[in-house]
Amino acid sequence: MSAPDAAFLDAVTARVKAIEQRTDAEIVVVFAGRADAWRDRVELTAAVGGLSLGALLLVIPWMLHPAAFVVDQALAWLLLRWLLGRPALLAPLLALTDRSHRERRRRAERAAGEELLAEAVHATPNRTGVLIYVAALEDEVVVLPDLGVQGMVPGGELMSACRTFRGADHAALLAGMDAVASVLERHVPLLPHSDETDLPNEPRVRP
Amino acid sequence: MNWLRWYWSSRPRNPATDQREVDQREVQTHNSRHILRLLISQSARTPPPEGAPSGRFAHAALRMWVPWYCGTSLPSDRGTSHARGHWPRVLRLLIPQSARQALLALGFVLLLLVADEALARVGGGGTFRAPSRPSSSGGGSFGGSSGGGDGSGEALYLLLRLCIEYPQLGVPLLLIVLAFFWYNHNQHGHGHVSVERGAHQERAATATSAADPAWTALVAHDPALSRPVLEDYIQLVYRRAWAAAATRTWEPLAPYISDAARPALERAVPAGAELSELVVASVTLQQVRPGRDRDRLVVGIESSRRLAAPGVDVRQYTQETWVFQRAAGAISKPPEEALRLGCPSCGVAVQCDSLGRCTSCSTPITTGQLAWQVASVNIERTEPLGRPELASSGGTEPSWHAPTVLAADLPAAVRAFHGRHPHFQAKELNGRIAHVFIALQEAWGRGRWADARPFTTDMAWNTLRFWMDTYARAGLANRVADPKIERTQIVRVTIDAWYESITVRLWATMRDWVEEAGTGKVVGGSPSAEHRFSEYWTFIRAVGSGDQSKDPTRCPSCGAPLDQVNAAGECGYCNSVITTGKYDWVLSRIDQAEVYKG
Repeated sequence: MSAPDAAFLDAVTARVKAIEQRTDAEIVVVFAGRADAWRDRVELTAAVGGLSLGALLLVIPWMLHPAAFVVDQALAWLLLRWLLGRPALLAPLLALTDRSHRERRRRAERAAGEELLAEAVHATPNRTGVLIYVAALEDEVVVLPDLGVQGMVPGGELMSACRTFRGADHAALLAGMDAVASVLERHVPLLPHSDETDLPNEPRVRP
Repeated sequence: MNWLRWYWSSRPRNPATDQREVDQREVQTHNSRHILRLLISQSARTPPPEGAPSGRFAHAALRMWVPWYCGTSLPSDRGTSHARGHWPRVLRLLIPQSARQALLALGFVLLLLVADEALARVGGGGTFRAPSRPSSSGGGSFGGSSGGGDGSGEALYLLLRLCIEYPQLGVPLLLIVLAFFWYNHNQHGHGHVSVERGAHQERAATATSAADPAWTALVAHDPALSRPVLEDYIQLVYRRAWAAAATRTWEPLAPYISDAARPALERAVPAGAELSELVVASVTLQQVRPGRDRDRLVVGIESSRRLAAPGVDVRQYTQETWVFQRAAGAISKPPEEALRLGCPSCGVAVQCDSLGRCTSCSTPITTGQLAWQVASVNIERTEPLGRPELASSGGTEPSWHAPTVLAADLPAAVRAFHGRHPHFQAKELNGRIAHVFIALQEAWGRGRWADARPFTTDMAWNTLRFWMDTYARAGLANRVADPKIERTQIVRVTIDAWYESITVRLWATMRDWVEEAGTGKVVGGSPSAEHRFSEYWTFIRAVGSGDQSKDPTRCPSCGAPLDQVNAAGECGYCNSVITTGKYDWVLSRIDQAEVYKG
C-alpha cells in the first residue's frame, strides 16, 4: 500500500466519524510504514552475503592480503545491511523469505498490540475501542478489538469482515472499514448518550 | 587456503624475517594447542550428557578429534590415560597447517551447533553471564559441579581469541556465530518474554496445564477454528458417512469423504444391510498435525449402531480412528455454514463435475482444499454391545483427592473475561452450574434423558445418551438420589472465534446405584451410602450472547417452560435452537478428574 496522502487521510477521518455515529465502538486507524524493522532478516542476509563474498575470495586466482579478506567481508556486510534496510529492497526480501505471510502477519499483530496501548484504545469507558492497523511494508491490515468488543462480537464475524482488506489499496481499506462497521453496528449498537467521541478520529501516521 | 600459502611463499625471503615467521608459527601452533586444551578442559573432561544423543556425539567426536591435533592426552572416562597414537602424528605431518586451521574452525562450529545442549547442561544454566575463568592447567577440575554457563563463556572467549590470532578464520566464524544466535533469538521471541514464560511454566508445572502447542499453531493459522464447532462437524460427518456407506451414495459427501476412505466404510456395512440407531459415544481429538501442505487431525470415535440384514440383527460397539485433512492455510467457515455440509466454497448443495469442481461455482472441492475431509478410516474394534460395568458401592472416589489441574493462563484469562463481561457475577454462573448439575442427575436417575436436552450440546447429550441406552438394553437402570455440589472451582477460561468456554471442577455427592429395571433388585452401587466424586465440566456460550437468562427453568428465547425441547435442541414453543450456547451456558463435555489433563 502506498503512503496515504492528505485527501485519503481526510476520507478516513470522515469514514471513522460516520461509523462512530452508528455504533458504540471507538475506531482508531493507524498507518505505519512498516510494522517491524526486520533487523534479523537484514542482518542474516547481510552476513550470508558477506560470507559468500569470503568464499568467493578464497577461490579467485589473485592473491590478496589477509587484511583485505577481512575488510572486504566487513564492507560487504555493512553495504548489504544498509541496502537491505531500505524498503525498496526489504519488501522483495520479505516476499522471498516469508511466502506464506505468516511471519509478516505475526509481526503486524504484535505491532498492533503495542499501538493499542500507545494510543490508549483500551481506555474507553466500556472497552469498546477497535484499532485498525495498516502496515504498508508488510501489506497487512490488523483489526484489533478491545475486550469489551471481543465479548460482544464473535471473532469469526470480525475476521470475515477483515477479509475485505485483502489486497489492501486505499479503496479496499475504505471498503474493509465499512465491512467492519456493519459487524460492529449489529453487535455493538449505539447506546443513548454515548455519541460523544472519546478518541480522535484522525488516523495516526507512523514512519 | 591456497591463496594464503601463495601469499606467504611469494614474499621476498629474509633470513631474520623467516626465523621470526617460524617463531610466530610456533607460537601460533602453541596457541592453537592452548585453545584446544581449554576446550578439552571444558568439554572433553566433562562427563558426556545423559539423554542427549547430540551432546554425546559431540563429546565423543571431541575426544577423538582433539588429541591428535594438539598432541595432548586425555583421561579416559574410566580414569586411565589414552596413549598417544601414531596415526595422529602422521596425520599432523600430512595435513598442512592451513587445513588444520580450517578443521579447527569446523570443529568449533560443530561444537557450538551440535553440543549446544552439552555446554548448557554442564551447570544446568544455559545463560551467558559471569563465566568464572577456569584454569587450563589443572586436569579434571571442571567436573559436573562447575558453575552454570562456564562452557558458553569459555566458548565466547575462545572465539574472540581465535579472531585475534587467526582473523581470517575467526572473523567469518564470529559472523556465523552471531548470525546463528541472532536468528535463534528472533525465532524464540524476545529474551525477556521467553524467560518470563519459562519461569511461569516451571512455577506451575505441578498443577497446571498448557495449551496443546499443535492446536495453538493451528489456531494461529486459522483463527476461525473452534473446537466445539469442529467436534460437532466431525460428529455430523461421521453420521452422514455411515448413512452414505449403507446406501452407497457418496456424491453429496464428495468434499468431505475422500475416495480412499470409502472402502473401509463400505466393507463394514454389507450391501443391502440397514444401519440405524447410530449413537456417537465419544469424539476424541487424539492428534493435531499442522503441516506445510496439509493439516491433519487424528480423531478417535466410539459409537454404537444397529445393523440389520437378512438373517442378522445385531447391535455393535465400534472404536474407530478417523484421519481428517485439509489444505494448510484454509480458513474455517462459520458454524452454520460448516454444519450445512454444502459446497465448501459457495454453500449450495454439492454437485461435482468429473474434475471435482462444484458445478455452481467451479471451485475444486473434492480434495480437502477448503474443508476438513476424511482421508482414512480405520475400524479398530467391532464387538457386540455388551453389559456396562457396574458402579462401585459408594464411598469416596480417588478423583475427589486428585490435584486440580489449572490452566497456565487462568489468572489472565479470568481478568480478560471480566473485561469482556463487566457485569459478570460468579454467583450467577454457579447458580447455572448447580441447576444444570441437578437437572442432569435427575434426568439420569429417572431414566428420562430428554429432560436434560435443554442444558447440553448435541455432543454431550449424545455421549451420555449412549450410556443410558447401554444400561437400558442390558435391562438395568442407574439411579441417583440426593445430588449435591459441595464446591466448584474455575480451572480454565477460553475464547475462540465463536464460543467462550469455562471449565469448572466440581466436587459432588449423591447416592448412586444400579438396579434391574424390572425387579428393582440392586446389582451395583449402594442406595444408602453416599458417593463422593469430582469431575471437570466444560460449559460453552456463544460470543456476543449477552447476559445469562434469569430463569434457568424457562426457554431463554421465549420464556416458555422447557418441557417441549426436542432431540435437536429446539424449543417446541418458539422453534429456537437453545442448545448451541447462543442464549446461555450449556454443558459441552464432562471429564473425569483422574484423566483430565487440561
